[in-house]
Amino acid sequence: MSSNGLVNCIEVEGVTVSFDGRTVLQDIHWSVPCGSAAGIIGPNGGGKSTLLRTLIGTVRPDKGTVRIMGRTGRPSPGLLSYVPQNEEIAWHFPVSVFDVVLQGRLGKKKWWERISPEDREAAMAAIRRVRLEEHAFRPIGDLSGGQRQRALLARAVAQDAQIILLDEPATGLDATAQHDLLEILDEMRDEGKTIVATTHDLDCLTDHFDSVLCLRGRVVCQGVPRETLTPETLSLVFGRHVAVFTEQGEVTMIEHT
Amino acid sequence: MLIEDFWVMLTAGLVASSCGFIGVYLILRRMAMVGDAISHSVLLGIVLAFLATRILGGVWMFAGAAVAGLFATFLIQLLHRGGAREDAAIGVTFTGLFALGVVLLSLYAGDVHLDTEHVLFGELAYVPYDVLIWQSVELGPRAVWTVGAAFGLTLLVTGLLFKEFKVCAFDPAFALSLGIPVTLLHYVQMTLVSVTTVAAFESVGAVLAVAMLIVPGATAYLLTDRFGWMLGLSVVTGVVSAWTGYAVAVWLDVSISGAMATAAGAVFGLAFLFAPRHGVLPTALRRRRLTRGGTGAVA
Repeated sequence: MSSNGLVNCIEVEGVTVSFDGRTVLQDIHWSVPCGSAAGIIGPNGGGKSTLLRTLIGTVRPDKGTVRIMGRTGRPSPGLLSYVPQNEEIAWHFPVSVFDVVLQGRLGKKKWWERISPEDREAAMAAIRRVRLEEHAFRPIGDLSGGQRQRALLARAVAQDAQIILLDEPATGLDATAQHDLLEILDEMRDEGKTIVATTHDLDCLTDHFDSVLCLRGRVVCQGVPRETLTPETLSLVFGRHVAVFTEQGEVTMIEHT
Repeated sequence: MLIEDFWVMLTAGLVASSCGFIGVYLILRRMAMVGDAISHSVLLGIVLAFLATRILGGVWMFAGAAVAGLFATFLIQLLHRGGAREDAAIGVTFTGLFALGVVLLSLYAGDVHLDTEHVLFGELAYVPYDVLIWQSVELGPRAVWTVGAAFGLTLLVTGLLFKEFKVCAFDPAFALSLGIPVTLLHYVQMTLVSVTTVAAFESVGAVLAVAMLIVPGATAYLLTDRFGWMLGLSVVTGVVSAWTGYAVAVWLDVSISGAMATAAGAVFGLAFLFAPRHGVLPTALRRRRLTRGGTGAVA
């Protein structure tokens, strides 16, 4: 429970999203308790990134409501921060790690407001938080994949939001880098932040996430990872099988050929 | 040095500065060819403005050109979103708009002094003789004022939106999550590119305008890992190229615009070979030293 008595920091009720007449997400019901870490799994095109964008408010649902910290409408950057997928970022851009982290401070500024000494202070603190202080003034492009991901996390820390959404933060990282990143996410969750991350790595879910949501256009399963992720549910989400949903909501399995 | 030389060098310096500055954003956003597209598409705008007003030059022609440039970026975006590859979208857009401009020009305006050769290559040597006169006071070449005004506008807008332009170029998805109007700012920036290009193009022609939009920025990218420095170095290398090119043009009595664009290419070549961190030779040297150090350690 968060300081203002809220139980769920994210509440999604009956959300349906479609692009050009194609339904990407259908009737999603999901909630994330404050101060917990939630993982989202599912095949590519299963709607993971779309769900994150719906939470940010850059994608509008056709139906249903999204409540962030109890409020509907587009959440302010002070409530929620977003770490996009690695490949969406121009890593060749000539900026230092410090410059990137400083971007986290833009959320609370109007366009005419300048960067203040407090902002620099906060950015430096965030860099120390993810243990990148040795690299603070190196060009971001010189960093390894794991260090880049931590720099993005530091930017989210500098943004100082209650909720942090990460789109495939562990993709492309080696085991050590993944472990370092997950460790920092654990710490932040323990400090009271609400963490939501999409992932392809099922191994990390049981150890580092309190709940999991399985998406394949709809919610296929959700709950505590250890209980939810069974061979049956996983084959429903990814497997060799195709899940077919009847109108009565029953699930039938058809062998994929 | 004659006063004419001074005006030509000042104009060329301003063109290099304004194009070099905004060009940095094009390079970093991997949009270098968009500058090319804009500079060619403006011909259509110039012709349409002339056909509408029957006046050569002036505010309307400038506005027509700038709008055509902006329209080109819009069309590229539209085609790209619709499923065309981005390079194909750019190619189709600018050749199409440019060709339409050429056709309209030859069809309706063949008798006016608005020839394609002038549009493509410009003539810097004439710059000092097209003087802006205000209440019978000579204010110097018109080109200095238009290019200067375009550069001033670019500096002002970029100065005001510096943080936003930077985060949009680096990570648009994140910028959008902060509530920054990424698409609107894209078009603001494309308007600046368009205005800069049109101003430059009027005095120096499309080829030099494109060269100055792309080459100094690409050179500066090799020379530094800091964004602010890159902006400054792009302007400096642009101006150095322009002035070196002018000296060569006077010496060999060749096309001024051509010599300047060639000089810009040569400066890029030097940076490509010798830039301290990213140049070919220093990188090769570092690698050699590293291998030697490696074998030394083993021995």
